Amino acid sequence: MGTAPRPGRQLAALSHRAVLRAAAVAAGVAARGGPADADALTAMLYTAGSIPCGGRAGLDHDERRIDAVLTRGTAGLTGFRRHRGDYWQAWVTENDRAAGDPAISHVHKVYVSPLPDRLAAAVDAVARTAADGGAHSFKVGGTASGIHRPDKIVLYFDTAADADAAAHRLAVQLSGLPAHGVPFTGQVGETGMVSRGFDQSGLSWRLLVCRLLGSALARHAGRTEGGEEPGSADAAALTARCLADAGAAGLDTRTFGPSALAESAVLVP
Amino acid sequence: MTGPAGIESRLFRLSPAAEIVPAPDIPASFAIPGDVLAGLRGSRQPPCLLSADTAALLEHFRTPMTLADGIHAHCRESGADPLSTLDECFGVLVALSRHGLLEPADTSAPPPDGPRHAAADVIGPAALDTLVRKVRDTEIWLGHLTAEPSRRVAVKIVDEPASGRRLVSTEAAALRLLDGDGAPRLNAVLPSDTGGVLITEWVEGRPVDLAATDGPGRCRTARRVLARYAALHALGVLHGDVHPGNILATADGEILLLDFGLAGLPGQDGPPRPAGGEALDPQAAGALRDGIAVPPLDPVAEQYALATVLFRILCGAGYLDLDAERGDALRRITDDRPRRFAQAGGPCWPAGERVLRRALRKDPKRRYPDLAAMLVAFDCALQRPARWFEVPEELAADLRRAVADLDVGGRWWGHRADPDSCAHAAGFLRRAALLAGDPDAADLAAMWRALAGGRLPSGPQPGSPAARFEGALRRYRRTGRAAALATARRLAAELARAPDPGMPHVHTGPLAALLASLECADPWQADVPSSLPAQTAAARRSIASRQASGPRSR
Repeated sequence: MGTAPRPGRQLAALSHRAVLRAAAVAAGVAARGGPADADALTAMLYTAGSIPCGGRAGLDHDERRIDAVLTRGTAGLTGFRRHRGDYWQAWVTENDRAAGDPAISHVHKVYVSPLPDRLAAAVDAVARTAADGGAHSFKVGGTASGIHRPDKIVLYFDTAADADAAAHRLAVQLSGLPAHGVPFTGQVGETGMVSRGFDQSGLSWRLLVCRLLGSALARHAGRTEGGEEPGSADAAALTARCLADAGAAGLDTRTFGPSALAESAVLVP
Repeated sequence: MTGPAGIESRLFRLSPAAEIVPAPDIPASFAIPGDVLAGLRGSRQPPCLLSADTAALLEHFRTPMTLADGIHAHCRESGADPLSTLDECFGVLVALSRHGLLEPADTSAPPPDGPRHAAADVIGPAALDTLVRKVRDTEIWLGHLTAEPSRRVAVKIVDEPASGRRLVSTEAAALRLLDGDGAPRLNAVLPSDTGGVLITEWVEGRPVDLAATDGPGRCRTARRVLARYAALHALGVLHGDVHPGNILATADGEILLLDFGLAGLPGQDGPPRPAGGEALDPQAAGALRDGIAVPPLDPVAEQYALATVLFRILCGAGYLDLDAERGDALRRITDDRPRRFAQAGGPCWPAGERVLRRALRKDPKRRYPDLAAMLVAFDCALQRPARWFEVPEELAADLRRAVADLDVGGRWWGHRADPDSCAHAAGFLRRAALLAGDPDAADLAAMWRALAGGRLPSGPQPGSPAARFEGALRRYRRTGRAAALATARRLAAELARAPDPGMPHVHTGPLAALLASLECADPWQADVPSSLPAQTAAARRSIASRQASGPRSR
């Protein structure tokens, strides 16, 4: 059994573990002579960390119960309009300057990831922080599967400074709650409850990172390197090559968060 | 009402009350350019966010046509493949018909409009404060008595020429009869030619299916609701509109019933049955399906409706999967057996399940003769309490070790080139992930399944300990007999004593034994089908579509 990751490093550990497992699949497929599928690897990375939604887990998480939790948690919120979608519920400011403005293509994200049973406590803090901290919107999973995925609560900000400030405030406020944790986002605080992302040109941060890594894994899995036979690299070696590629493309592979370099670069795989 | 024609041959049109507007106030991460919000004027239902493509498809229904014709017309215009579009869009159109955006072309209901009253209006002894709800020609306001401003009241304003007068007089008569016992106390009635105004005390509470969160609390709430209805029927009153939104649980656990406009009163003819919703009973559903007159409501039909609500309180889900087009949903009500508690995420409580199954019999003669008898049966069932299981910590620790053994570089990692081992590892992890809600096991299940080329292990050999174990567990879930669970536990121990197969295996050896112990610790979950494959497939489809159509993810 592995040792528990150090405080502040839980999300990086989750992310590295997910890459290693995807690399194991890529290596296994390549060893049987098949091409590794970049889309499948991307999907495997992107969905990593979801809590299975079924059985007992679904008992208290039907949509009406979630809706009631969200209604209570946002009861005092003013200045936002609520939108109920099929899978999520969103609160958008009345004067959201990003809306419909193609010039604003980069969005600074703060993820908040409580365990599903602790959603109510987190939503209350998120709503207060959104109102006080200048978020232009936030959204929360509105279904059982929505709140069982790690990225169940996301706040959106126009500036990195606002997002950082809100993330630090939430990390302190929610430090007593057990965290679920969002892989491939930059951890803020010690528990993994709060993390950061940075959408670029309208593309989701996590999807960008997972596509970058999935493509690199698929590319390296079938490649002959240093006299190796195709498909002979083990999962650890493949992981190292993949992370090196991603690092060269501007991703901070130590934290998986939007570092200054990543924010200035465009992470297109 | 739905007639005998199936949805395939029915003409649909875009509702005259539909409003389709661009989605300018949604951030880029929620919507992609061209997305629209579609909703119904005056409806309480939230608008839907639709893609530009779906919105274009919807536009074809400005002229009535069948769903298939609409899809064909859209494909002719867009050049899309009709077959694949039919596959992708048919469900969306059915969902939009359930939302009311698409409606049968013969629907004649006028579009809803805005509220007819405003805050601060004074009506009789009350002043209006906040609009709580508006449904067609009825508005419900939170208000206060002008002579006593601290006293909050509910003001129900009905303005409906055809039946408003009868609704108001019926509700007033029912509330007078109950006189505050299990329903809000009536303060004043102001009749008019098209309905009138009912002013009642304001009660704070939550819809009853949302009131209790823990298992014992659900049982208590269900019992209180049943007792409330038994008392109502004992007075000769039928509620006539049974659904969780009309049954409030107050903070101290009292159950109050709302909306008696469709009630049946002593000495009167039976009121009309509800014409839709989960509480629809099989006789009404059959009549609606066949296009014949729906028989009036009677106490045994209301027993069925009440049982659907009790099922939802206990399980947190509906007694049938009615997420279907109306004709199909009606057929399910008339034909399909109620789901098992386990299938709906409910407790292991065969005694309580038997009570609800009798109340949900398709044949009214086989239900309880009255709610008093059902209450007695329910109380007897409570003597054998529902079990809300927890996974013991030592089992959870064993599971963590087993999951670690199946990780990259773990004890079983050397078997990764053997497809059989990979399939068994995936099978173990999938089941364990669901039983324990473990994301790590779920991720590893995906990994091993990919290594197995998508395969999962087949079922156990008939007569093997694993097969006998499954039989014993099934028997326990059906009967609730402790002996069946004891047999299952004995067989789980037998699996542990079997020779180690030397590979990950779900039917014998240590992994099989651990899985069996987990099933015994929480046996009601054993009926719950795995949702992992669907989740993974959905995620892959979702990512593929994002890559094709641009940003839409979190």
